Amino acid sequence: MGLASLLFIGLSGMSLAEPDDNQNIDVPCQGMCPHDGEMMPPQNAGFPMGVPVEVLFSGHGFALVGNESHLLRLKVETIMPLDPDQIKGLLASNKSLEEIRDDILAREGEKTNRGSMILDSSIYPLINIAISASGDNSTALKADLADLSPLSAVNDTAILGSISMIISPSDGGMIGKGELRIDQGPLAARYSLLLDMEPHRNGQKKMMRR
Amino acid sequence: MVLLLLLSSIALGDSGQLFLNIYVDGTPGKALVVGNVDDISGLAFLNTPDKIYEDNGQLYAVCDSLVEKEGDGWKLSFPSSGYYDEYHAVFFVSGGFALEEINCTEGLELLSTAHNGSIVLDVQGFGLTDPAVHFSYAAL
Repeated sequence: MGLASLLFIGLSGMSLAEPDDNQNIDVPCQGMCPHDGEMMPPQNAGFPMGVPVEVLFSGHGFALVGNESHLLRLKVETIMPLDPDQIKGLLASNKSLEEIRDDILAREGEKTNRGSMILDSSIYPLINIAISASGDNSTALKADLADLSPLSAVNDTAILGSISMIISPSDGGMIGKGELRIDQGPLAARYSLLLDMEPHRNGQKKMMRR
Repeated sequence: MVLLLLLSSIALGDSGQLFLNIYVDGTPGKALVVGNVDDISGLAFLNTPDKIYEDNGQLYAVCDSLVEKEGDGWKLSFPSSGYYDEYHAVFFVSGGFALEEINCTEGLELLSTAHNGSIVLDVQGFGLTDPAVHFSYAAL
């Protein structure tokens, strides 16, 4: 089941990749923007800015409702916050890259989580991310989906839905099972989730090829 | 045929992952690139070794070649070569700018927001060859 799912997802992902075909999107400052036949969220409150440190959870699989299945990808990472003033200061300074790294790492104690979910071709930022042990080497992951619709632009904390999963060992890997609820929009529904979770990835232990 | 080539590249281990955050100051010209990428040779704009600092897999770079003036605004171009089984780039532009146009490789999913006067463009994709992101922005 897992292998079949992975193969299907992999082939589906590759079918999306057409390097010679570009998507061109005009982005007005207000309201919804067309994106590949869909509507693109407006510019308003997003998720926290920061330097990615570690991918806590990354998985792909399906969101199921009735006899429909939708491709779903989920990622939660740890970041160190980096605010616009700090970026401006770093770029305006004559600091070496090593000194820039030190400045960034100085905020290591303020680590926070950032996450997002892609359902079919729509990205949903995750907020209010809560991670807890759930027994039997399992982990519970709960989060809300940030609402980026124009009506919610005045409210940074507007919520579009929620996701709740238990991530557990299975056949040498990890799987995630749970529920996704989307309250508004064309994908509004209550879904069951089944995801293959990728191995824990710590960016600071991974070496780059040159 | 394309599918076979892609499968071959995966089998040969040529696939990679890219997780980068790109910060552009409101006074365009310089960008801070932070994150990790499996194969740095796919990022041609980082081909000057003294512009890159790598610390335990974490990449730090300051680039002045990503942003160029375009009309009354600015254009950021972020090309990459190679096959990426996972691609996640987040662009931050601070200083009171608004997005005007986005042009990116088919298969990349986009989410744009504004946060405290900064543009945030989250771009994610999977199973992509030579993904590229270009977007223009101008002062509010």
